[in-house]
Amino acid sequence: MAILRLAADSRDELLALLAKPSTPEPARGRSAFRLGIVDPTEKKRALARKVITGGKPWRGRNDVWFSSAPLLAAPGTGMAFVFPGLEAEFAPQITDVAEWLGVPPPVLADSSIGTHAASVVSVGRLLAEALGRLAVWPDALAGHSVGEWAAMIAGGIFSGAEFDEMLARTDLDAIRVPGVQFAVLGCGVEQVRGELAGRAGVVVSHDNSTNQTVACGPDAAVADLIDTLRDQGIICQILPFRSGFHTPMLKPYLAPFEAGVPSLRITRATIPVWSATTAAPFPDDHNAIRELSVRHLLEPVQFRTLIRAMHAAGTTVFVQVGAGQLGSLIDDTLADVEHLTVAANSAHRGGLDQLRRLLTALWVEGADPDFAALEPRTEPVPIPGSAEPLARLRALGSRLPVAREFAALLDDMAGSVATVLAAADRTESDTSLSVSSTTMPYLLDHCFVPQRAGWPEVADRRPVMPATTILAHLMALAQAHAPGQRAIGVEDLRFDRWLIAEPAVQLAVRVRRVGADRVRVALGDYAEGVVLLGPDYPVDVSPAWQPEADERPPALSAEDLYRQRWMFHGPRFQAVTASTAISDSGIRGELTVPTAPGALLDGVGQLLGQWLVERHPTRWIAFPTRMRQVRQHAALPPAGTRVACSVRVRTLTEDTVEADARLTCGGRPLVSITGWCDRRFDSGPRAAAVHRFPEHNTLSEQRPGGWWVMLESSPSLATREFYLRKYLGGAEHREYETCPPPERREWLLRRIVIKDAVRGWLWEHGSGPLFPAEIAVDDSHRTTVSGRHGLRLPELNVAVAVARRVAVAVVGDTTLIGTALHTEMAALDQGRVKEFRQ
Amino acid sequence: MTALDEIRTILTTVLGDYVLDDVEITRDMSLTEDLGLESIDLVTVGAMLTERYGSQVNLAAFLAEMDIDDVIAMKVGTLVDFVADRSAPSLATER
Repeated sequence: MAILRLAADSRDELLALLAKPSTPEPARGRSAFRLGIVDPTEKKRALARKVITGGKPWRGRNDVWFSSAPLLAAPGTGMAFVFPGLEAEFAPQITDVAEWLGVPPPVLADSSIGTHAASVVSVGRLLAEALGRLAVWPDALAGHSVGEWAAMIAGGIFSGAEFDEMLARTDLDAIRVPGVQFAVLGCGVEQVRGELAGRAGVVVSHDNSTNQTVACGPDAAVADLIDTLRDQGIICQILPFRSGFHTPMLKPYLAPFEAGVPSLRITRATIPVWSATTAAPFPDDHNAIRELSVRHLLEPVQFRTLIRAMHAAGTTVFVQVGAGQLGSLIDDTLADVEHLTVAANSAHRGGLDQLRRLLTALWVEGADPDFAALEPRTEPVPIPGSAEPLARLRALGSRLPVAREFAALLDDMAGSVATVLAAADRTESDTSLSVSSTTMPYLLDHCFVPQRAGWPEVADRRPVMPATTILAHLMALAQAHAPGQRAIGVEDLRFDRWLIAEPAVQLAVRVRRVGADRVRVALGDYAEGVVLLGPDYPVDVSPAWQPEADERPPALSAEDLYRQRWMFHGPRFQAVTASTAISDSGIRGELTVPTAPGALLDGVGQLLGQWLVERHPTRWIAFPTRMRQVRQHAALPPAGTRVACSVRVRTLTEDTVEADARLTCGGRPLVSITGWCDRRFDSGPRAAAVHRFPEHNTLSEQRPGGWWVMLESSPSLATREFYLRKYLGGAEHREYETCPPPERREWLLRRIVIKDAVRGWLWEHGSGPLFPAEIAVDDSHRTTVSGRHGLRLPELNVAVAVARRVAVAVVGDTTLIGTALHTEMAALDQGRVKEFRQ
Repeated sequence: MTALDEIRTILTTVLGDYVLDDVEITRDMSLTEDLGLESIDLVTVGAMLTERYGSQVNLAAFLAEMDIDDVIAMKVGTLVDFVADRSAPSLATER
């Protein structure tokens, strides 16, 4: 199916291009006037001419898209994937999509509420995978009703594989739900609420859009409500499935559901996932996520409010990841503001054809999807021994009992044969990997916390395996699994937890073949990704990057990066040997291949780090959470080789930065990275000073009255864990973890302020640099402190007190402590203390 | 103006300018598949019909008699007949 794409810098230029009989593919560029037509006929071209002349954006009617100010080009805007839930019509077209992906098509059924829900989720997941393959990546995720589970999987809150295992344990057809009805009402929630006042039994279950609300209740009560509303001219429909989801009526049936999704292993989202229960992003804390996943079952779906909130936060493009009408609800809610909704699937046309429409729509709004990936690469391989005769036999079986038995026997045999063949094909394997600073001594050059020279406890230095070293291991593990093939890239790589190498950890390695040329590799519950395999490295055909127009020399030299401890890397990971040029949207430099595995690509992160240091100094500390696509175009050169590296920032938010990178060696493409995502941390002056030189700096502040104060300005859990690692030795960290979670915050505040007060006292009495780990604290009864590994402390009287977010500590005259706390609390309540910005 | 013309005007408003310029809307076109109307669009169509003809043209009551599959497959002609039946007799002869 042909797609016409035209880009120009003015309306007239675009009209001129459209008038030409044939036009070349548009270059990757920033031209604002964009037109896309799928299957361009003379009629559609005529429509396009009118649309362009009219000048207003046109978003998809008659397969024409036009924009003169692409939505995604505006700063601070982004794209969301929105996963549909259960709808009256369920007819996704995904067979061709599954075939293209090289995976078996999901089995779809809507015979019961359980199978219907499972089918909806599996369609969403399949399409999300397809979108990733097309280089379409979301900045935010959300779902309608059960679609929220698909969003949670896509965002990394729980694993798709564990979700599947949970489903496999569940008899979906046997799930019991209340036998209540849903009525779709063609009016806003306020009108419905007005009508419900004084009626018993019926509640609002979904606030869908400006003009659509769903109510739920027993048949008679729903019928009565519908009669009244229809008299007022309001269109009402009864949905063809029953359940009391998103209402208190589900409560008596809740137990089996609590054993479902809320029972899964839950981690913080790597892409923001929005909850339709709260119309806000999911919290970071896994207990809070679990709690919300239960509320989701019992409380109304606030889809209208959610969409408004996402739009207010910058989402202007909504991709409906499934078939159906969810997009029309978004359009209804956002009727008064600029936005695009586009479906990744449709009941009315082939799956791949609809994906072509989607890519066209996104390209017109400024995205850069991979159109070529949809075009056929290889001839389909015919399957020997076609299944057709078996199908005929089954059909006969419906009339002839003998044929039925024979078909069952054949089915059985085919099953056994498939099991044996699958085992022989080594589609999966489980091994393990030992990670420690002994087996991987190079990790001692990648330590998160500096300590005194000669410090004996390696664990206190927190050697951590960098994301790019994990990547190198995943590729090596995949290649070992597929003899004769080469690991040529990685997709959808996630880093869920810090992989601390001391004490040593033994990691389970799971390798699963997920396609002819790809295997999914998981390293414990730390990281996972899909490794691409091939006979040889793919040629990079994309045009070379031109230097940005606003480039200038960076303020920091490569040497400064390490000497001034902007980067904590030791020699075996110091990849940057020259910082060449910096601009508002990127940075260029020279890397020299270091000796440690993965250290070359770590240099990409270091250059991105330098860009943040110089361009966004209040939140420059950042660590990778995800990489969408890494492609290697040649074998990595030996240590000492010089490699040119360009980093382009795609999006920057308060919490994340996402960049693309190109590495070339001698002018030839070496590695290209799309969607390198870092999580950003608070790094105001005080926090940054502690991060770089903890032996000279404190998180707490000293007060003239003679005490120290530590104020927590409700930072995220991620930020708290960050400081925890800076301040606590290995043994203290274990002590922290034995604390019940609600007490941890206070425990940590106490510990930080004690260490700072003691270090402060020692500095005043002539001490040199002191690292937080050098102070041991016994805070169990009376607070006492002592020195570790050679630090001698005099007998010190220490007092500490905590209330709400304030911790104070005194060394010496401990009678001050009451006054100290009182003064700080009063100051906080009166707003006299500036919020302590870390 | 015939009922078909009225419906055409309403659909043009719902679908946006230009789309129907070169399209002859016929009675056997399907609202969803041929014209691309979504079910939420019917709310707008219903409201415009009531505004134009008064409350005796109640699309909600009409749709109530159909099951969901019939609503999805509804043709322009069905809508025209419904409007002609429920509105002023003068229109009924003009359809």
